[in-house]
Amino acid sequence: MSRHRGKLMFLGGLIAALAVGWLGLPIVLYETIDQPLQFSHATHTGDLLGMDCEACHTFDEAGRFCGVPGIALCATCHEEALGDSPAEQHLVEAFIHPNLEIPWLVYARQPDNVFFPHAAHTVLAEISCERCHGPHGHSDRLRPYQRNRISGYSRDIWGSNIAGIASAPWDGMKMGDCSRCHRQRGIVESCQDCHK
Amino acid sequence: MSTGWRRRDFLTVFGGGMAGIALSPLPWKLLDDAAIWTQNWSWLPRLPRGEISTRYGRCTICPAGCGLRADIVNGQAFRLTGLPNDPIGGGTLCPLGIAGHHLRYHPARLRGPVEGGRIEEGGTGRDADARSLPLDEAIARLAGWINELQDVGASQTIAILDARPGRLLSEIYRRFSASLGAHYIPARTGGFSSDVLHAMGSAPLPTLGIDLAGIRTLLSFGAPVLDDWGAPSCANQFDRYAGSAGEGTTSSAALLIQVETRPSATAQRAGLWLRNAPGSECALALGLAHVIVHEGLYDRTGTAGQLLDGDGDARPSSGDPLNQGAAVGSSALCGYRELLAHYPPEQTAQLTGISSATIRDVARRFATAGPAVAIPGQDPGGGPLDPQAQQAIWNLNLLTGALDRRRGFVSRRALPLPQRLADAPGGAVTSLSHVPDGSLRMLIVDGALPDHALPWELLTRKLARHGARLVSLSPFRSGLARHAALRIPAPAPLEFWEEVPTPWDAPTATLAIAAPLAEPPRGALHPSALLERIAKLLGMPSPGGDADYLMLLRERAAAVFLTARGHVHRGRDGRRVPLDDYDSAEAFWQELAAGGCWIDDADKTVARLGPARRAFLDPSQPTSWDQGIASAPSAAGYPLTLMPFGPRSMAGEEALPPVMAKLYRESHLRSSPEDVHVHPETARRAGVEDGLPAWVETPAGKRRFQVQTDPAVHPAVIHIATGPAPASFGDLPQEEYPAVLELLSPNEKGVWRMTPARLRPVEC
Repeated sequence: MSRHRGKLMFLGGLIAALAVGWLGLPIVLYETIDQPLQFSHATHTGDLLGMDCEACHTFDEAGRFCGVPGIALCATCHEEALGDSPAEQHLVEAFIHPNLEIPWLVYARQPDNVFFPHAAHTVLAEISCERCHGPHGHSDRLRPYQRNRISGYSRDIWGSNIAGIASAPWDGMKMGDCSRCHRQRGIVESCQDCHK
Repeated sequence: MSTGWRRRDFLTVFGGGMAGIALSPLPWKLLDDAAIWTQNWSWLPRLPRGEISTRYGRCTICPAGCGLRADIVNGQAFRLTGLPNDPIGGGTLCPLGIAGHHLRYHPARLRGPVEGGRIEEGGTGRDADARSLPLDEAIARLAGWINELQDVGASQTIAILDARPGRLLSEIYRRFSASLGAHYIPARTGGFSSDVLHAMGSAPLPTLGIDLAGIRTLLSFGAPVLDDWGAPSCANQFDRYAGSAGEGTTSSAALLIQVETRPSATAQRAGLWLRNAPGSECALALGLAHVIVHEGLYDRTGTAGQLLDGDGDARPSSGDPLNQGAAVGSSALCGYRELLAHYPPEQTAQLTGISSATIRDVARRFATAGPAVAIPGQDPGGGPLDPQAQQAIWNLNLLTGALDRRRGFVSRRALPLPQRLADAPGGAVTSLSHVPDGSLRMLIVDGALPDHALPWELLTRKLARHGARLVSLSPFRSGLARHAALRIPAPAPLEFWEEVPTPWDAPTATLAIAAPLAEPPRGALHPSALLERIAKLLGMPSPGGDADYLMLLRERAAAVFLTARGHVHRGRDGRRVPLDDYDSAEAFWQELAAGGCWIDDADKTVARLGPARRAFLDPSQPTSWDQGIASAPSAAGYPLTLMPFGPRSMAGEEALPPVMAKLYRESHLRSSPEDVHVHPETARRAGVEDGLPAWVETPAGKRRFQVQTDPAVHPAVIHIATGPAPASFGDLPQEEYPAVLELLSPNEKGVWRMTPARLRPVEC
């Protein structure tokens, strides 16, 4: 035993540190925040309504992507509660009737110094929404938002894996992910393309 | 066996832990997040979230006034882009304009009045003594100073330096100066100076613009026509010249011939670059004129024909026109012919360093491949050419009829004034060189960003040696404001209603309005409002005719509307709408306020000098024409000539949008003002090496620069960019900046193109 004492000690320290780095860090680094309202994309895009993404996530007359729709668009259908789910009641009473915007926590929000034109990607390059956002448009619930306590950004930007190893094409929205896709498509890049 | 933990065990576990940490994402992820955290500090300006709206306006960083589209969130502009097909900007914004909305956050931004030290013995301002003071107190302080001088009958020792002449604000300055009995001094601006031409004529000339459409030969004496010269849309007319390199002077294609000592961007892209000896522009112009007159190639139907051939019907049948001065009987013309006789191509070749064959070819091309124009250029950093050289170059235009036709230099109408200002004309205009040395006890410097450099030495020469006060209206604590005893900041660009009057190079009159994109700080005051309040305190008449600046802008627009001429280029869609289509002056104003640009119809008259016998060189003037060489003031021990240069709007130390200007500088598209460019042989003789620091010494002082060798540089010359200064971006304290402007020795005519200099290695 004493002959292996040093190795065991080293191994113990190694395993403990690995556990801290791989398992403990994500728990400590990210805080989990619930969305202000539950929303089912599946209900809207599924067979029942069959809406396209663009029905709510529109482009304005100048070609700019409008992002998450405002409460006015929700109110066109939900001026009065449709159904009796608690989320529906909450939507109507807390936001639509007082005409307050829903403070959504946007999983894909990029830093202010990043300029991302949706039109160039979805219209010109004809890239599907799923390429970057995955099956989000067919989810039945909004998963909790995980906020990085240091950087302040969503965990979706870094990716689900703490080491940044992507498990799917839409897993991660870092600059490296953008560059990788551009290289695959033979797009010549410069800093000014995104950092204007 | 002991089971207790020993020191070695702790170290082993720690080593394992360190290895484990290194094999986990923890350090790398924390490092990455910490880097991002530094971007999110609470004091950094952050873009508000919200709905994006669009407004159209004008950039006022430089006098061109390019059209812009501003994307705005919650009232804050976050992106500026050019207006497609804009008649001034041509659809683009320069790197400064793209980041124009950053200027309000510049580190040198003043948010309220600051009182500094007094200028003593030509020294610089003392920021250490500066203190903030309330706006009302600052205005009262300035009024008090003016009153002190009035009381002792010294109003004529006050001057206002207008950084951007031609605006309505300039009219207000003129009226205020006239009421006070002070000087109104317009700063030098534009890409060529026509002051000399105006002085040459016997009758007043209209304002000159330039129309380069259809010009086949452009002979530029140092004007940066392919770089940053004129409004972008005008400069774009030269694009076709860029591809004509190597075609030679006999080509029938349009050709740019660049006469310049420095290997500038324009020189390298020109169809023909004539690298002349420093200061030999006058000799070259005279040599070209010699060939043109000797071979009878001048325009015999225009002013030159009338002057050189006598009456249009009395043309010489044969012989050398150089010997026919008696036909006109003018002593000036006789003198001109005698003068040209001293500049045969062989003699000119010796003076200029350009071969006699090239001089003949260029002269023939210039005279026969017309329309042709010669431009007496002025570099934004290096200043204008010597007046003699300018006169010789204007005479080339006279010889080929460039002032007698609707190509090249054209006359344009002046913008109408608001009625209330038109009824009370402004005071006289004084050139800075005409202000007696040491006479000024107060100089009020306008707050617009100048597009040309102004050496501090030129101003200190005019200021009284003791007790002179400089008052700056600049929104920034940079440039001349560094020397100010009192700074009352004006709103920064894009923070107030501003006017974009006709750019200097426009062939027709134009008017555009820059609407504010943001609120100025509470401590900032527009100069028009400042002068109104001072006038009220001193019991003087209102310089703006009891109207605020916005009202005056509206009234000028109304005066333009009443002309019923021209059309409007709409900002929002680029459509061209005749002025007649607007129902009212108010509708016209609303269009201008939304980024529209009014463009006058062409003035059909041409810029004739008329019976201007004085138009040609008069050797009876006390000038030394015998050499045709403007030399640097001689100084023993200074074997080289320092020739500064600079890009427009970045030629000095004024504040610039930090982000884009930094990229501009680091891209090496522009020469750094910390570098000295020398010929390799010159560097070898001086004992300095490429890439290493060296002292540049002139009679005015010495500064340390980084040596950059370039075989295209003339061996007798060193070149240093006057800007943009690192402090323009808020990088360094001003004291560390090796400002070349402080090494220059302007002559009595206000010319600082050439200063004797020497290079010395920096001892380790």
